Amino acid sequence: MKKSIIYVGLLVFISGCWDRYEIEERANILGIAIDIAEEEDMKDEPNVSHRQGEFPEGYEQNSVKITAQISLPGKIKLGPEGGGGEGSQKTSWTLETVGHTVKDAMANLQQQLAEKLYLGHVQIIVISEEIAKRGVEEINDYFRRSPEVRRTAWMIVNGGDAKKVLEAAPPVENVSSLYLSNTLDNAVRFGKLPREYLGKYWINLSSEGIDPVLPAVQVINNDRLLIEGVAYFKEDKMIGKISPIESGVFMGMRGKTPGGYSIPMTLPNENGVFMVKATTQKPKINLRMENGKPDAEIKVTVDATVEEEVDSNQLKAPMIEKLEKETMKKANQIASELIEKLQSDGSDIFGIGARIRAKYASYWDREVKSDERWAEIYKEMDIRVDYDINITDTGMEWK
Amino acid sequence: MNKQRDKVTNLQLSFIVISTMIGVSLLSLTRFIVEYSGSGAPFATLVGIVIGLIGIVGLVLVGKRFPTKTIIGYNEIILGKSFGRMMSVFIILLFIILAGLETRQYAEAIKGSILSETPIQVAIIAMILLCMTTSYQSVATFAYIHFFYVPLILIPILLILVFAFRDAEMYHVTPFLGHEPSIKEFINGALVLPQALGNFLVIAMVIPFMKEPMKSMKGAVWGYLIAGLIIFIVVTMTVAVFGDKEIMQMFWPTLILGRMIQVPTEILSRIDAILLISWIYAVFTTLLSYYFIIVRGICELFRFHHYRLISVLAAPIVFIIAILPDDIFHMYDYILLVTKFALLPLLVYPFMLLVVAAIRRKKGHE
Amino acid sequence: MVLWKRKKKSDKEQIPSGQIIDNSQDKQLTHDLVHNIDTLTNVFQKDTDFSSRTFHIVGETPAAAFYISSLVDKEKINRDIIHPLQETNSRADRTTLLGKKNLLLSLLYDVLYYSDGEIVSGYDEILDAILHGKTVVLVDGYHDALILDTFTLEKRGITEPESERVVRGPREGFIEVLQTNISLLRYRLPVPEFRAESIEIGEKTKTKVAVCYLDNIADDDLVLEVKKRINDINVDRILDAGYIEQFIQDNPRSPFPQVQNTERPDRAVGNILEGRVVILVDGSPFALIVPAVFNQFYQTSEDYLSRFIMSSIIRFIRFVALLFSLTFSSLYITVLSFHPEMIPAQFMVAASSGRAGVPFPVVVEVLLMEIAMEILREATIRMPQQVGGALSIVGVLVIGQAAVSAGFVSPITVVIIALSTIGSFATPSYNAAIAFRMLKFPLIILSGIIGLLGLAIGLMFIVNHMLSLRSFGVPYFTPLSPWNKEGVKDSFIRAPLRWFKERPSELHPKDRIRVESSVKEGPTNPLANRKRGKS
Repeated sequence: MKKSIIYVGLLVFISGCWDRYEIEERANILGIAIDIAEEEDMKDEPNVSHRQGEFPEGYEQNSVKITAQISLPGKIKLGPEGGGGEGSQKTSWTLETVGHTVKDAMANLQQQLAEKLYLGHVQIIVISEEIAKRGVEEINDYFRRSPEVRRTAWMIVNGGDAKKVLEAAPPVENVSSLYLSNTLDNAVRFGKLPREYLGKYWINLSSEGIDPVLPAVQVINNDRLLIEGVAYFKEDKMIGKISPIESGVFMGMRGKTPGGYSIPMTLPNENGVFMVKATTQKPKINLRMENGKPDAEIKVTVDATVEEEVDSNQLKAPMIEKLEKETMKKANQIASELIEKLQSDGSDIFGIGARIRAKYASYWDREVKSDERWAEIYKEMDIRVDYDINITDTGMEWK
Repeated sequence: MNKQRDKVTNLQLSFIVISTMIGVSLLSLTRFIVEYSGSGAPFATLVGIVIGLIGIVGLVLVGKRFPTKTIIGYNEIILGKSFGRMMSVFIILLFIILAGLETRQYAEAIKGSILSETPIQVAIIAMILLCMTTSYQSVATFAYIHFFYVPLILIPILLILVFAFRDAEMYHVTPFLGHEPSIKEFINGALVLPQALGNFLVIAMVIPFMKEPMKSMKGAVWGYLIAGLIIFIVVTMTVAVFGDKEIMQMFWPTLILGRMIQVPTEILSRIDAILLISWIYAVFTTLLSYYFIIVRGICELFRFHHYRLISVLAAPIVFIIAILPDDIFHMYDYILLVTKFALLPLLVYPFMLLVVAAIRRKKGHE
Repeated sequence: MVLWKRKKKSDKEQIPSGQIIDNSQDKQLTHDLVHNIDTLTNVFQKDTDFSSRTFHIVGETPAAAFYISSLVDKEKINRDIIHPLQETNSRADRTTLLGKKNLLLSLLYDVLYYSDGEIVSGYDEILDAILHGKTVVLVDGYHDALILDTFTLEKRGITEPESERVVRGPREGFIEVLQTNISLLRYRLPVPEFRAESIEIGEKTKTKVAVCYLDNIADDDLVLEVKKRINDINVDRILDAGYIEQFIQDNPRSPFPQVQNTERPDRAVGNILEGRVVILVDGSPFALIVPAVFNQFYQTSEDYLSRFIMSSIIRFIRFVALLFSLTFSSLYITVLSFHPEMIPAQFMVAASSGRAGVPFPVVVEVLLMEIAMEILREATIRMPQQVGGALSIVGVLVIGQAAVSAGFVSPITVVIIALSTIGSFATPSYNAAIAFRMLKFPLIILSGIIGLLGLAIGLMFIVNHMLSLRSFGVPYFTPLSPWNKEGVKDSFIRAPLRWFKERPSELHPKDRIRVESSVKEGPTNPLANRKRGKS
């Protein structure tokens, strides 16, 4: 028996170590950008997975252009003497290739590289708005299948070319993708973005009665990102964008979040502008069935704080009450306008459908059954919003 | 004297049940239950646990009637020599096949998640070697091994469940009965559980080596309930996070659950590796139990007490069965087939034995 | 023919002295002193340290004293043996003395001031006595001999144990002499139940081995088993306790120590009080403690001296260090070569920069460094102390600095190797630490082949082996598995001393309760009773 163990050991040794790829043998992709490939891009398509023009018919026009950012080992110095200053062009390598599908493009990319493409550290997947509007189902499939892709990565929508995001060169971090993903992670902590990372996005995409959202960004000055709010989807197709303040309201209605946004408020018959910032938002979605039709009421309890006061400096207890009322009015107005917009687009990003599916299962099974039907019902549905805002403090100032 | 000291205690028995039941199936179980019961999966799991409970109670009852005999032993007493031995052969064969298939299932999960280019045989051989070198040890050592690994299996799993709580959505788990519930589908979903967990049969091989076989009911049932509870929580949590639709698109929902988790301080940016290690431990303890039944069973059946030899001889057979299925889909077909038509009826078997024993007035001498 | 004869002759010369006697016809001593002197001197004629001295008892009866001068206290012989025997004005009347029926007996009873003396008649016994540093006095007309213990040995003083230093606690350590070692134990255990049974083993070395235990605590079966295993040893020499250890352990093929050794009498006594058996070997400053379980190998005697929270934390740290020394380097390989997704992206980017330019895979890198580390460690142990310091500086410089700047290894690897090496130094028990250090090599190779799976499987092989080990019937992982609530109080944590009510049950002590439980409340405040303002 001892001998047999030795033989097996030898066998294993001789046949080699299959999955061992040293760190420098991996092309460590940190960010991927996906754009629509134009006609001229496709002209120099490498044709790795198929012969020229032999891609299965009917599917060849959905071509994508993939830009991958790979960290370059050896260029990034260890320890204190490393760090930024040199710009990110040197520490990373941005490659571009095209293909009919994501995998096709990745195969083309692999064909050009000595190292093995490695998706384990992909931080962000940027898609352009055109791609998002075309539908992301087919893009996601490759990433869902790969055991390497982490579900805590980000997928974001960029207004212009997705590629531009990866080319942004923040001066602070070694590789721009790391900085960009930090921007997004921290935005969640600040309450600026919903926790809608890749895994969560996929769940909402496949769940019935809820539509996903993705963060929308815009490149500024070619070195950083502006979080432009949230792109909302219907099924897998992007419909539109909501502005940052609206996304703050949206987050408050969907689930318990730290409030990240401030609203400038004025009081009637008073001077001054008050910046009121929500600190916590806690929604409660009440569903009812009336006459065989669902309706919903979203009650949001908000704790808020006054962060700034311009041209007034006379905040007192009765004023605060007034301010609360005004803010409630404003919030209700923003929220109901937002809901109206979403309803008319048929995008249920609050998950009201999912909740109805859970609460009134028999109704769902009888009347709705599918996402398409739900979208129709959703459009007609009565959704009310009721904000309860409570200003809990005013910072270090008494007045 | 030393033999008396090496007896298995009640606590160890329950740990044996826990670590045997939590095993290979942990990663894929949710998927199969959801396939039948949809969002009713947690409730189906509960029902499944109750069904399985009946099986284990029956097993302990027979064991208590014959406190000095293993299942191989009382098969012969109750059913007569020839028929009893036939049943024993059947049970051993079943567990050889199961051991092979479960080893394959483990290897497929390893291949799918971490070692995609390594031949599947390597993972299979490694695990079989591990079982082979351990399965001929004494019953006490067998109990110690199970006892030792249980915390290592449970703690990471529970940790992941705690962190996953943040992403759980209530609307994924309701309605409790699932959509468009039909009794047949629901029961099918509920039966997945006893199908996957029928391996608690191993206690029938351990009871005669216990300090107090007559008190084994407590240990066995507690162990079963704890394992059942953990599986219930895993199923519920997975469904709560992913929802039934998403789960249907995955092979190993529990593993992906581990992948969804962000640990507050990013020491390990992905925690699924830890889950995977503790799952490998769980696989080992489960397969060890299968091996234990095979080796001890064969030895007792043929009155041939060379455990070492038998465990070495059994290894290639298990290996061949493990590499028999062509791919992962075939493998799951075989597993469902074997567990449905062989392991499931085994739950009723102890009661049959009890009835026959009562009719034929057979009793184990105390 | 001639050759053969010559060979035989040379054979004869090499035969040890004791066997010549067997071949000679006069095995017995006779009444004739001169003949006796001849026979004895014949045996030792080539030995420079053999002395025989003839004299007359009270000036009349011829007698002779024999001894090996290197083993005896000469002053004692002069003062306490020769002097009283030659003394003509002794207390006993010389005529009465000489008139006595048995001169030897009366010499022993009336004349010699000696605590350790006997009368022996066998020839072999007399030889044996001479070889053990006793003085043999033969008197004309008697074939019996007076044997007086004049043994003395140059021995070192009791010093602080080298291998088990403590910050706080007794500084005494065992030395090579068995008698002294037993005295160190008895001094701490002044109870009549303390047993120190002596067994002589080693065909040539005739080493004395003492089995020490408490009669009313240690399990009879355990003591019997220990004695049986020691008696079963069949070997020509026992030069140190290490020989005994290898013969009595349960599984000689295991890498793990199944017998604990200690240089500290306080630790030995502590273990005896728990119901274990301590084996002392003449000539060895190490005591063996059986049975030993894994837990004991990361405990020190000092743990019981400091407060329980501190010792619990320190024990836990030692345990972590042990795990580090076993798994850290293989975990590093796994993460870097197989699963870089496990580490944060920032670190992965940094690690890949560190590795840029290193020509080998991580496995080879780590293996090379670990081997270099072992060589360095081994070299430092064997070197004289003065050189050792210089060597470690050279080693650290070469490996830490030069290897990195030469692009031979990556800086992170150096950190990892250093951590895993230091981890093994934090283990108090040398033989357990070395077992883990050596086991880390198969783990490194396994994880170099199949990554995480290899590491997990390798660890399971080790753990399964440890779980199947027994030391004198006690499972190696007690009290963890099998679980033992009382035992866990003294495992990787150390509970407050007053919680230790029972002795470890895996040892099956006869007396399970350490102390009869008496309800004791916490310390009272002696000042509390005073009334305010009165003092």
